[in-house]
Amino acid sequence: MHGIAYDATHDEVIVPVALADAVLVFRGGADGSEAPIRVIQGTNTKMIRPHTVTVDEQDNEIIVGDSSGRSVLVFDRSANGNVPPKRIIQGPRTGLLFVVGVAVDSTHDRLIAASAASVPGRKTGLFIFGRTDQGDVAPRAVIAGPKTGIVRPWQLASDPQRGKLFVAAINNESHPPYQLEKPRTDLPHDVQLPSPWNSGALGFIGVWDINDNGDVPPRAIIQGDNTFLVHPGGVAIDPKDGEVFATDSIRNGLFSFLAPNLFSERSQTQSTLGNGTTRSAR
Amino acid sequence: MASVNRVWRSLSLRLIVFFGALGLCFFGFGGRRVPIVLTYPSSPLARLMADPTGDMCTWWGDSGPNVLAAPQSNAGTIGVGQLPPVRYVIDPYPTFNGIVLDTHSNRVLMSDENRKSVLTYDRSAGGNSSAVTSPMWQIIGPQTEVGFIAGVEIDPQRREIYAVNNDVEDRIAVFDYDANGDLKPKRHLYVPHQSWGISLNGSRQEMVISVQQLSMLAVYRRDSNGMEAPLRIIKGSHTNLADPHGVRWDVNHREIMVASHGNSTEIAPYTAYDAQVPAGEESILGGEFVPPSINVFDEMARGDAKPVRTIQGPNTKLNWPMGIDLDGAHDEIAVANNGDNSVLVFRRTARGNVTPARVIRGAKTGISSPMGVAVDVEHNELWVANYGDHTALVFARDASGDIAPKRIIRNAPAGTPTGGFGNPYAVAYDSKRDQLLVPN
Repeated sequence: MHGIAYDATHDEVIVPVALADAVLVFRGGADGSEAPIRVIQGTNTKMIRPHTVTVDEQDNEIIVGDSSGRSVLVFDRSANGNVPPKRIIQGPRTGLLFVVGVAVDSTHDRLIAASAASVPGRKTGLFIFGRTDQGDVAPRAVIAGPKTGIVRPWQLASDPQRGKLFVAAINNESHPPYQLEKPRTDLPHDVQLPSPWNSGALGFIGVWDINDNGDVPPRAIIQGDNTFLVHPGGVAIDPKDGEVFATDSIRNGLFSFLAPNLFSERSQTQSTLGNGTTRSAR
Repeated sequence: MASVNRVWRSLSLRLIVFFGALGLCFFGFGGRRVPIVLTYPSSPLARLMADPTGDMCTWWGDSGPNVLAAPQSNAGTIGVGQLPPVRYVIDPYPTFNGIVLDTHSNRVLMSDENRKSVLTYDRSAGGNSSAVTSPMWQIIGPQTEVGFIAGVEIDPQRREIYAVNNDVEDRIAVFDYDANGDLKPKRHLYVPHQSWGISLNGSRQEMVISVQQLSMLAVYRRDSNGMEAPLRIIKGSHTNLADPHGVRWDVNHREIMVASHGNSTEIAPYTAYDAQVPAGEESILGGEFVPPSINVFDEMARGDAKPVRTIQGPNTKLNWPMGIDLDGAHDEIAVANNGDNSVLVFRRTARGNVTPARVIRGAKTGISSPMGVAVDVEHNELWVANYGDHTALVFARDASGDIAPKRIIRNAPAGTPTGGFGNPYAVAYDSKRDQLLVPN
């Protein structure tokens, strides 16, 4: 499982199961061999490989990032069984390819997807859509480029109150030698693909504003040898206690950072909705 | 509904790991209202020594990390930088996964997913001590290409070790028998993502691997290297393969047996290298959970072949089956049944919804999230590699029920908890319970 979300309003845990095209919902505090309370699975769901998930507690929706479908699928929070999504963001105009992270900012009415691409002409970065966008739509903003430091993004976490977006930039290089069951024909027999011990740039946890756009550096960054982070894939936040949490695949571990200054002020800029205002909290 | 329940039996096993990790997080992050600020010695060397996974730090060198472009310098800038963690959960010890025996050379090898290594022990090592059992050798370090390792296999004739990387590195690294430390593999073979188990056939000079996400077996030449393609694959809806793990080649009966968890899907395309599939042409077959199984194929099977036998159903007690091994002398199959902390033994020719011939399970056994199992016919022993405890256990070959092991190999002092993490790529914060949730 490469994703997980906690719904504090309804006290539920949501996890995607990539190898069975399913999204499972457990009661909060579930333990041991406990069955889920809901299962989203089947051909109607349009899921091919649900990789990551988040929950919009304000709008009662579960958002799924599908790495094989190159899509973001939005389900009703209470969806159960072989049900179709309420909305799908998918298609060449979206810029989405290998979707590995999703987040929602219901205050600024934004839906954010982290997507990686090794196909020429396609971007790796953060694709920011309107929360209710659907179909083959262009993103409202794209945070991507060398100044961002994002070589390969992974999980996202949103702080709608302050309009901040936390990004786990895992940044390890991925050069899959196979296309499904066949070796890639564009690689020579003696190719030396990066070793897991020496691949890519150092990863980090980066913080962007929800209104950022283009090739812009993060507004804050947790990176370096003091942090212990090498290739962090997971990120979560506890704004109340001013903490940022990260998992790291190289360390095979979990880290907690105390950074209250990241949560001490409101976003400097307002989201630009169609009417030029932010959504009011409900 | 029964199948859904079975689904659950299999799926919930993931949750054992998931919530096992959660439990450790809770343990590790207890008292979080009073943060513990770690302090570090100033010199890099001293810091590495203080770091419980110090050898993993060295891979980016002493020059320190890359320096990213300066954060935005507008009013929204918030500097954080090299912030040390106030708490962390890292398991500094190995965790056993795959296991293989060589009774002729009197050694046992186990893969280590946590520290990313291969450990070789004397076959007679271990005992009742609570102390760490010293390995003979350990292959570990940035040169080895060993990462998120799963299966391990040996070729006693050629004196070679095969290490299968699972969920990052997409390759098998091959070493000489007495390899030790941080060294390059003598050759490597690139394999599909999420390859897990491996078994050699010396007679045919071939090896077979299992591939989780493709629900596939792939057979290669034993000496394959680089980008060499498999000789044949077994894959398709008739195979009954669903998230396969442990695999064993029965040379005498010319069969290949494989354990499946029960997660079934179709996943094309699947990497960042693959272009967008045009709308309407996606492969949306819909995933499903099927009961865990052991399927046996003819060794020359290829394509969408049906298994010649299948063990599957509620009577089998299969529950997230991991490694398997064959006892050719007694015509039995041993299974590391991760989901209910047991080892199941079936007759080799068993089929259908059969009960196991023997089950090793219970508090006395010490079996905890077993990943690997190996049968030593010569010494009449059965080995179990635990993932949920820092141990490998040795039982009498015909042990049954809630029985204590004969001896224990420890990779950490007795009582040391395991992290439970397996390549953690995500985290969530449960604000109601003040807990962190980490899926594997």
